[in-house]
Amino acid sequence: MWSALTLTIVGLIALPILTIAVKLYNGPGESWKHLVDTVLSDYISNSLLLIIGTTILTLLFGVSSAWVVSRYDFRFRKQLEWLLILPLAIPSYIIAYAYAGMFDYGGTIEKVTFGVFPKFDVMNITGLIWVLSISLYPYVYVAARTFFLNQSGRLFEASKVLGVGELKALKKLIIPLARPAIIGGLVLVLMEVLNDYGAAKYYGVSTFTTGIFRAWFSLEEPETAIYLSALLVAVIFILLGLERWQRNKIGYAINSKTQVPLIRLIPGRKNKIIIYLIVGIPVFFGFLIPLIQLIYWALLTYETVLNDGFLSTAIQSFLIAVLAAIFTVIFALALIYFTKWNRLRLLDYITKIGTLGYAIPGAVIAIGVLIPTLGFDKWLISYVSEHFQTKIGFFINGTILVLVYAYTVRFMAVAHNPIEAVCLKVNKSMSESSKILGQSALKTFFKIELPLIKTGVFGGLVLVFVDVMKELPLTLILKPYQVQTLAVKAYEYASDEQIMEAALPSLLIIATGVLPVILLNKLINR
Amino acid sequence: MKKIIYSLVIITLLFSCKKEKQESKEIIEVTKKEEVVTVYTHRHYPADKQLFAQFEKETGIKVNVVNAKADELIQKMTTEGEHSPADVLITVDAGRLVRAKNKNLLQSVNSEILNTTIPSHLRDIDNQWFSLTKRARVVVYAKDRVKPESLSSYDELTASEWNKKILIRSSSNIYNQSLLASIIANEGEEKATVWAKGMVANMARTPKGNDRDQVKAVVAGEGDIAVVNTYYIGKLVNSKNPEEVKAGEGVGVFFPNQEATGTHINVSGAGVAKYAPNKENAVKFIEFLISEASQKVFAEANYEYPVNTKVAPSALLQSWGTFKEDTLSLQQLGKNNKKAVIIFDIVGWK
Repeated sequence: MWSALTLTIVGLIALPILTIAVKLYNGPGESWKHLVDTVLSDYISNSLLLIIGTTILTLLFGVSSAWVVSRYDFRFRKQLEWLLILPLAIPSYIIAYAYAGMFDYGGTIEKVTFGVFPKFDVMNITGLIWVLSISLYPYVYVAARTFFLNQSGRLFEASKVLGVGELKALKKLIIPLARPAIIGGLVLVLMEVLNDYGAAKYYGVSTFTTGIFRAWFSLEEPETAIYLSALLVAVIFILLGLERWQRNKIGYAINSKTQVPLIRLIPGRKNKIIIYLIVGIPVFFGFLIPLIQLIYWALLTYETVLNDGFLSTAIQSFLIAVLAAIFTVIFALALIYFTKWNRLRLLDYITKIGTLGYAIPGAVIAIGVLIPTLGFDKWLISYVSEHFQTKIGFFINGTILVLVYAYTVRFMAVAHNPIEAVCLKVNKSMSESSKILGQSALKTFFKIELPLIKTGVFGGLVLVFVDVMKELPLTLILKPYQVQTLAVKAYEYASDEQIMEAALPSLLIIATGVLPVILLNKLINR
Repeated sequence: MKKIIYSLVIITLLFSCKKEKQESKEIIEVTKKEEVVTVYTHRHYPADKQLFAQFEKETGIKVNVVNAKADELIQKMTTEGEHSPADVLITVDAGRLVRAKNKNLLQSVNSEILNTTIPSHLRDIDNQWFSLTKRARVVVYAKDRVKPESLSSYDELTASEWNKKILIRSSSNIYNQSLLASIIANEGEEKATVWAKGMVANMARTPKGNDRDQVKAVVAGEGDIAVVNTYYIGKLVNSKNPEEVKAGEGVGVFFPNQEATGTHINVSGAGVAKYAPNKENAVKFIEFLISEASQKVFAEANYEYPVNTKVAPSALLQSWGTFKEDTLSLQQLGKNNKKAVIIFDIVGWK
């Protein structure tokens, strides 16, 4: 029975992605050669530059700030801990718009410095790398900090006993051991970078994803677009494979029976400045700058934007995001544990496919979801009309069900990665003993494993929640008529070049993100 | 094991509850026979919402709105096929309406009102789609540096005097694609390629940002002229941000090609979906949108040129003067769109 259930769940998650893969079989459209001859090299070089740039910057911001808040005690540390996560609550393209507005002609910077600091061009690839890094580093930060807090206490104790200095222990022991967690965060960053469309388009940088949309809609060749996404997915597969191959050479489980909390050091005066710089820079540039710009815009426009529909839009967004987060996490747990319980090699691979949704543009996922669900609906319609002589409309399409299903497929990786990272650290012997003592797999899971991986589960919940709040292309295509979300609202304005009017819904997206982020922070600390 | 069975039972129950609820809803809908029209639209302006509400009030027909980019809506309609709930498709450019027609997503409509109100070049030859509003793609110039007499046609923008002076956005933008498509239709592919190449050579910077950003850059002196849509100048001049107002007022509007084929225009338009479940309501809906009252709302609130010739454009648009528009059949824009994109790629227009 387990195998059947596993297959169903894994199949459900992988279905849209497999649908897209099948479409690949038809080959690219007729303009493929034209693309290869003219613009493909541009897409590749720009996307590679983006990958390299954002990898360096997000690791720098994410790991250093995570280390500082885990190891040292200083004023405002508690507030900074969650402030560091907040840039994640702002859609990247909104941060991109805010930066452009800040540094534009007659922009905020020019105004507050009375023209001493004139326009500074952020709209190029360097600016794009900066904007994406500053908005996405929290993925690395969250993953690294969870590890540092849970694990490094014992490790430091051990290294001290062996007479190894702080820096050396960090370099030789902690960072290498934190690698799976950090890479898990980095993979999310890179997937999101490769998926970015709004920011790259506005900044005039041709990337794979802008190319996908161009091929799909301007050249009218969905086949070519899907081909391009497949190339993108292949790149990510290779990156993941390389990392896994390296990781497999070293065992990572740590016996965590005796968790020793990391004792925080009080920094000296000189170190204090460095520490405040390390945590201050990401918060300032990733959160405060965009926030100030958005507030300024919101003040200019709130009269036209704010109306009675606004509150209900906010509530709807919130509820949908909560629902999607819960579903995604349940499915992620199912994927991880069902594959564990079934020793089928094949399942392992299909699970990997299931987590690829994050790398595929939301609009493409929407197609992958539409084809099978519409297939089901059409079958149902013909079945009903044959047997009951009545006409019905679409049964699951245009309902929340399909929307939440699509979110689950799209954001599987966001829940899967942090949970898996925590699972890797859980010592197998405990659950094995439980099984030897005759407990069922499910009971073992609820009684022993779930409490141990709690932080990962909640981390996944919050990250998916925040992501769904921001999600756009998929929501536009699949949402029911009556449903309106804040992200859609913001997009309506932004796509009509009414960037300022988009500020208020964006601010609300951020506001709804704050509470869960603080909650997540509490959990990591515990 | 028991737990699993219990939870499975609960889940099934939950789902079946949901089903029943929906089914009963559908039954109610059938018995009530509520009149509806489902609109797939790329437009999402307050003016539109106001008009939809007005339509509901006047006719009692409920307007269901699906708001997304036209490309995605077309994709959605294609996938939904004959079961698609869409009655009307509205886009903000002619190219995509032609695309929808070519994909067999629209149907011919025979409406006396539509045929007599809308000039023939602004509707489909088979009456599958109809323009609702117009926007002109014009040249704006820095009032303090450029004399409007030095401007004449789109073609003339490639002359050496504008070297490093032109601002224009990316070729991914449909309005640029339509502009080039119209040049392909009017003058042929070869000349269009030469024009696109000349434009790239004269650009003040690599294309980035939106139409508003091009105007701001002209006023700031990064270039002298920009090619933009009239609609966005209206938006800038009426912006809540004083900096944007300054930008909008710092440029003059010039209508190119007056001696030749006329200024390139693009339209926002609507068509009735091929499998529209409520075809009658759909036609009523489009007729309503081009009525004098509705066209006034479009003109005043949205800085667009009305297609109904009985309605005058807004005061701001009138202040730019009247102009001769290119009467090239808009179908040509859709037909030549792909060619345009390929030319853009070849000449390196980002």
